Amino acid sequence: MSSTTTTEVPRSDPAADLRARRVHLLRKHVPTGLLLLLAFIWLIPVWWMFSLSLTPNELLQLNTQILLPPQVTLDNFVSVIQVGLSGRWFLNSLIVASSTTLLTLIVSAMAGYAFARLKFPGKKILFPVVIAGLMVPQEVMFIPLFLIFEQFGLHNTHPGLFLPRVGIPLGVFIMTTFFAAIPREIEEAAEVDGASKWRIFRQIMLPMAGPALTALAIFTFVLTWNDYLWPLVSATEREMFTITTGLASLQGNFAQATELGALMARGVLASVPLLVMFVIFQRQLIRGISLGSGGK
Amino acid sequence: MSVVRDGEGDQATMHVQSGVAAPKKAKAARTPDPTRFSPTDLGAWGFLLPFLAAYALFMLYPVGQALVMGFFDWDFLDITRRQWAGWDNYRRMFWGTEMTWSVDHLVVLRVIGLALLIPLARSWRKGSLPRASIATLAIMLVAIFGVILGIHPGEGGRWFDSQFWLSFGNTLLFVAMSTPAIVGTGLALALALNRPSRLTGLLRAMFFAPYVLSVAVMTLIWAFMLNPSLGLVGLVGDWFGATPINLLNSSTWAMSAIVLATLWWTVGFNLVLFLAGLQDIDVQQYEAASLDGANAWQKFRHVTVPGLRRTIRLVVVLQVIYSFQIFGQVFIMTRGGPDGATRVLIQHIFERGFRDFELGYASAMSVFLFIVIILVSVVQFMFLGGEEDEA
Amino acid sequence: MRDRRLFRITGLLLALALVAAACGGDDDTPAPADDDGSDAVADGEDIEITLARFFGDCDETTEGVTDVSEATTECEVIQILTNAFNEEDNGVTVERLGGAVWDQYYTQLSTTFAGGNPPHVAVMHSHRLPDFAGRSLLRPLDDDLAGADIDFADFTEPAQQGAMFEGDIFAVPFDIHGSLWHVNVDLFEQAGLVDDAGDPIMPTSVDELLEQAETIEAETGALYFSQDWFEFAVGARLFLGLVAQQGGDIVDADGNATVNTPEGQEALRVLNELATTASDPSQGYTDSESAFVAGDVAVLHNGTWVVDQYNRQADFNYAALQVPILYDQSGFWGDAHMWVLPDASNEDAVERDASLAFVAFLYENIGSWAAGTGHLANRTSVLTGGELDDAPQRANYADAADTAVFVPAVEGWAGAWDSLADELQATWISDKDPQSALADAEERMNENLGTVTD
Repeated sequence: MSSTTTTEVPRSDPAADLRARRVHLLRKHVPTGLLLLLAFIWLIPVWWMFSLSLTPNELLQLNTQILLPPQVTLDNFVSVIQVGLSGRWFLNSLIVASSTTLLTLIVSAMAGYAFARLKFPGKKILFPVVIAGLMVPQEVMFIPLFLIFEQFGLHNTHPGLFLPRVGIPLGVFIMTTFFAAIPREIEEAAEVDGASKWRIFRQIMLPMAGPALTALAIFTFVLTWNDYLWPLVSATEREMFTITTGLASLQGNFAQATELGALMARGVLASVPLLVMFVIFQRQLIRGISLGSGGK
Repeated sequence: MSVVRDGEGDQATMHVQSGVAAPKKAKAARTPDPTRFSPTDLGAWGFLLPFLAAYALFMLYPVGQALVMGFFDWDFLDITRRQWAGWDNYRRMFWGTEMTWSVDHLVVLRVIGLALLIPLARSWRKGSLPRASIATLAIMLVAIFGVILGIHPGEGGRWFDSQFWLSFGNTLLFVAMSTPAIVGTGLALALALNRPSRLTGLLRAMFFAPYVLSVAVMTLIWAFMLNPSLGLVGLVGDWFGATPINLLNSSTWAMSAIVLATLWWTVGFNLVLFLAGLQDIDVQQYEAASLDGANAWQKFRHVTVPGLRRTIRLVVVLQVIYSFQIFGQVFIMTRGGPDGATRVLIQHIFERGFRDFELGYASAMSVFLFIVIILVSVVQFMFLGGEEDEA
Repeated sequence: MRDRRLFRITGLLLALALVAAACGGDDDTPAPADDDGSDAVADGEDIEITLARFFGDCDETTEGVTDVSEATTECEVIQILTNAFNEEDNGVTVERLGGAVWDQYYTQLSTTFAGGNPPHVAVMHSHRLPDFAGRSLLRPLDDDLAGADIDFADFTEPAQQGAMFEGDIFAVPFDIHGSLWHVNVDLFEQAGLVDDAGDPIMPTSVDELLEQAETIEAETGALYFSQDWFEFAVGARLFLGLVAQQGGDIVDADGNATVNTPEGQEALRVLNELATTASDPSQGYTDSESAFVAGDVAVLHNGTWVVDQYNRQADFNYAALQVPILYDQSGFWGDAHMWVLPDASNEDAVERDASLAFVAFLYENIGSWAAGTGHLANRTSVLTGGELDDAPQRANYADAADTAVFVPAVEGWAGAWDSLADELQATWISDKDPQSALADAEERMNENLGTVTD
């Protein structure tokens, strides 16, 4: 930064250097350390859930205020896995969530590009109308939807489970926001080169919207996986349950009083795939310092 | 030289600029006449069609039906009990017997609402916001806090639906409490974790983790945890030698407990969106700011916030929309209690629609909620950076 | 570069999943579950009927099991009975439908009605019957029962009442379940409150009740009473029982709510006395139960479904007793599980006969259900026939099947009950004035019952 003009060489002071280094290290690591501490506190409820899932139900009926299992058992997990159809339920969830995510990404990215960059009549009205779709609660909408699907015989099918979610405008809202932030110059350069809108979309817009696409993929997958109300009414045959409704069907009355460990184990099993998915994909959220302007 | 990154049509923003001329000129040369039917338009429909088809079928149709049902006395299960009701459902929602208006009804709330006119007046004078928006908001404030909130059943009268306004009020309370908390926390976490290292990757996963839990599991954990005899709150109490109360059982604290649980559960959503938004802020702008001698706070105010403006608006709008529709976790954790302190509007809608089979009335209430959310979103768009997201 | 490849691979995987979904997904004709052991769809051999029920899922302990004496939970009893029926050579196969947690059961069931495709047989609580019967969604069974060998007169009085609506029979009752007082006899003994036979002395008036509470607390240090004060409407059940004991009603003949009456006020007074002097009103279902099982509480007000569970768990002398009579007559909350036949799915005579055959089979096994779950058998012949002699505690409360008090059979009751429970709860949780709580309760209940005038 500042250029030295003196010819004096600064005398080295080891004590001061050490102090400076320590301060530097503290400033660098204390915030991260604090964050780590905060993160561990943040996850205490999750740890507790995990701990309860490893404890026998009978012991839990006497005491649930434990941070470590007084006695470790895998029975709660085994009893879930042993249920004949649980593998099938897991597969159903995987198929439905994956299909929804793939379709939503494609459909929302295309629509988002249109809203962010293309001209067409009625855009100023259509966009708010599309976003308004987020403002109606699912609890009210699902009955008419249920009746349509009944008419087309789509209940107890996979498409019956993933099609409704593709119409949810969350993806369009997100993609429009992020596409609008991409600098026009790059697009314009491509246009001058004679590229079609589709090529610009595929080769410029999509790659640059990586983090947004990743975010949308994560949300869609998690929200579809954990969806309960729609699979509840649409997939009533046991082979078609998703993991959510399937595990719920195992619950007897007052299950939290009698089989708390099993309930927690089911929660763990249903959540772990989602967490794994997040860990794999969250790297795509951060572009990295080296990629600055124009380097994308 | 770094490039101005937020698109055209922006209001003047306060960020470090280092080169601006090029984009505007390019725009002027390029934009075709929007009223001319150019090939671009056809392509646009191609991009839109898949989504619009799904939207029309799976969203517009059911929403339309709900709108229509609001004008009927529509029994969920019995076709023979469905008949036209006109505005009856709305009358039942909003009105009562012996209705009258008084100055002092809900006076504290109304004074606070009207007090918002003061900052509005200030920003009118300063011209920091478009005057049309300020005028609209001022009119709305006066209408709501000055007039509408003064209406109530007088002596010997009663509301037709005693639970409606109570549950709507609870929903508003929830929105007001949760939005700043969850948006703020999400932003703070995103700023802290916006680095590509393995450790921050782990931290991101840790803070996001609660989001993957289903509502059934999340509520089970929290309902147990907050119970002094069943959960960790009891253990903590033991260390301090006191017995804590069950927050979920206290009419004063239940709502706060729900907000806390919701924050824990859903902040991951905002965290991810803010992270994605942060990636689009040009790093060189930070360097330029440093060169100009800006400290961390100034960099935040003049580089980060403007750069994140679109994302902030997205996050806030979504957060508000979702908060208005809160239902699942409240219903399971407190079932609207204690003493109706946490009964939210969607719970009321759900109960009327599916417990009492009055789907028409439930639809009418949903339409009301829908309109409220639209109004609030419009106000948000007006004040959070007025430009629209299209070209 | 790596990012792009990752995206491509993911995309490929997702596309494969999509293809798998389109091709491989089951459509409307799935194979029946393995434990049925018989052929699939109607091909002249077995008729398949669908059953909707809650009680959970327990395939891993009941797969292939047909001997109901091996059952230990509600789920196991009903599933084993279903298995046994399917094993029989009767030409009918029962396929279970639905993935609801029990408190979402009615949302799911109602939706199937709305779609016009309800199951052939469904379980239903008696307090829900009016809503469905009143909308003509259920098949009246008056003429079908004789042909199916079901003797309606064998059911106890409350059971019959619960299955009828406006004079017609719409259900075959399966049990009566209701309030019980679960007693820690050891604590009673410590306080000197047992008779010569060693049985706990139950109070016969409110004053005696409160005296006992004092005695127990003084002699043993334990709280006298516990119940779920806020999670489920348990307090409201006790309220109902106490009003009935005074000869009162919470809904009058015209369908108006009548809780703000001298009987109602008295009942609420007793509840609040218990809450403030003899109990811990911050307890919910799980913790009140834990407290009892741990031996910290003398009496737990809960139900019939936990008798076997406490019998197993308690390491003290445990007794399940009827709710004590504190006023003029017996009175305690009761409800029933019943089997109904939705009209829309039972129009075809062949399918209808199949449904009736299954329900008749369940009727014959009411004793097994009672023995396996702790619920009350509701058939006089079963109660007097000795089937339940081996089941623990049943003798203590067997005649409760004749005296249980059901909630009023009126449409819209679910909402009214919620309103009542809400207002009652406000008195012991938020210190709301009992008088205005009951007045507000009446107002809200009438709103729910549709008897309010604009």
